[in-house]
Amino acid sequence: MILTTLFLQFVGFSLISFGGGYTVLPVLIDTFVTNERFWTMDQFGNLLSIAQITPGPISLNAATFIGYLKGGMTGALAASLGLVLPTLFLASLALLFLKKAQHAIWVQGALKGARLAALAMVGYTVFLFLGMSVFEGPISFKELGTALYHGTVSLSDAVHVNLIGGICFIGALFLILRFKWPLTPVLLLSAAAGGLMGFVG
Amino acid sequence: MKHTSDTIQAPVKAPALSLTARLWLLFTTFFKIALFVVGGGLAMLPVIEATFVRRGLLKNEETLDMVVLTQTVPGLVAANSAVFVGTKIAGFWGAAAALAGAVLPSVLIIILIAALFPNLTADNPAVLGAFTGIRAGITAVLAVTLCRLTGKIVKQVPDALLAMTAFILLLGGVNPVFVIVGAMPVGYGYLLWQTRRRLKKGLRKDAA
Repeated sequence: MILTTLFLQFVGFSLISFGGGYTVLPVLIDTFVTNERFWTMDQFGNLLSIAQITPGPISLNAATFIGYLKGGMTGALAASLGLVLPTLFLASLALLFLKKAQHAIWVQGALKGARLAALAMVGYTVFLFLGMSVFEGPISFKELGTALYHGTVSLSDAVHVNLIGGICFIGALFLILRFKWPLTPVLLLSAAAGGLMGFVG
Repeated sequence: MKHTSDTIQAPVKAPALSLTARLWLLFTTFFKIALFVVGGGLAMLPVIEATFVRRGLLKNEETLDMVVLTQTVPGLVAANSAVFVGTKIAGFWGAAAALAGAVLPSVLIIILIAALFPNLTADNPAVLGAFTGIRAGITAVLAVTLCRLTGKIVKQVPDALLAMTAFILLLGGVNPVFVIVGAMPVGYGYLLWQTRRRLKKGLRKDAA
C-alpha cells in the first residue's frame, strides 16, 4: 500500500516538473513538510545539502531518500521509478511525433526558434554555474550596475569571488583551450585541486 | 578558440556499432555522467558531445533539440536527455538503457547514505572544496561548448537577436518552459518571412 502511494505520488511530481527537477522542490516541501509533517524544515534542509554533495539530480536524490525512509529499499526504488518512468514514455512519444512531422514547415520553424531559445538556456546555465563556482552566489546585475556607474558601491561589494572556484575555472579553461585536455581529466584535476585548497585554506 | 572548436567537433570516422555495443555505450556513458557530472541538468552537454557527436552517432544541432525536449516534456533534465539520446541512437531500448544508466548511480548512493547516515550534513572543507572545483571545471567546459554551439547555429542577425532576447528573459526570471514554447511561433514566423524574402529575390533575379 505504502509502495503504491509512494510510486503514484512521485509519478505526479514527475508530471509537473517542467524544465527539470528544481521545479519540484517547492512541491516536495509543500507535501512532506507542510502537509504530511514527515520532515521539519531543518530536516529538509539537511536532505538538500546531502543531495548537493552527491551526484545526480536533486529531486531524484530527494525521492530516493524519502522513499527509503518511508518504505526501505523497495520504497526507495518505488519513489525513484515513479519520478523517472513517466519521462521514458512521454519523451519517447514526443520524439515519435517529431519524427513523423519533421518535414512540415511549421515544425521546422518551431524547432528553429526553440533551438535558439535552447542556446540561450545553455548561456543561462553557464551564468548559473558561474554563480555556484567562480562567484559566491548568483551575480546581481543591479548591484553590479550601481557599482560600475555610480561608484557608490565598490565592485568588491557587488561581486564576491570564490578563490577556489576562480582558480579552478581559469585552470580548466587554460587546459581545455591551450592543451586540448579531454573532459574527465579536467574535472578530476579540478576536483583534486579544489579539495586540496579547501583542506589547506 | 576557433582552432579548438574545429578539433573538438571534427567527427571521428568510426566503424558502425552493433546494437549491443550501442546499448552498452549508452548505459555506461549515462552512468558516468550521473556519477561524475555534479550539478545536473545541462552540465552533461559537453560529455554528450564528446561521446556521441564525435563518434558520428548524433548531429551537433541535435544536442540543442535535446535541450528543447528537456524543457517541453515534464520530468528531470537528466532523464529527458537520456531518453532523447537513447532513442536517437538505439530506439526505445536505447532510451531504457540510457535512462537506467542515468538513474542507477544516484539511487544506489542515496540508498547507501540514507541507510548509514540519515542525518549527515556537509561541512568538511576538503569535500566542499572538491565540489567547488568540479563545478568550476564544468563551468569552463560548458562555456567552451556554448561558444561552439553559438558559432554553429547563429548565422544571421535575427538569430542572434532571438537568442539574446531569450537569454534576457531567462535572466529576468521567466520560466524556461515559456521561453522555449514562446520561441516556437516566433521561429515559425521568422522562417516564413525568410522563405518569402528568398522567393522574392529569386523572382527579381528571374525577371532581370
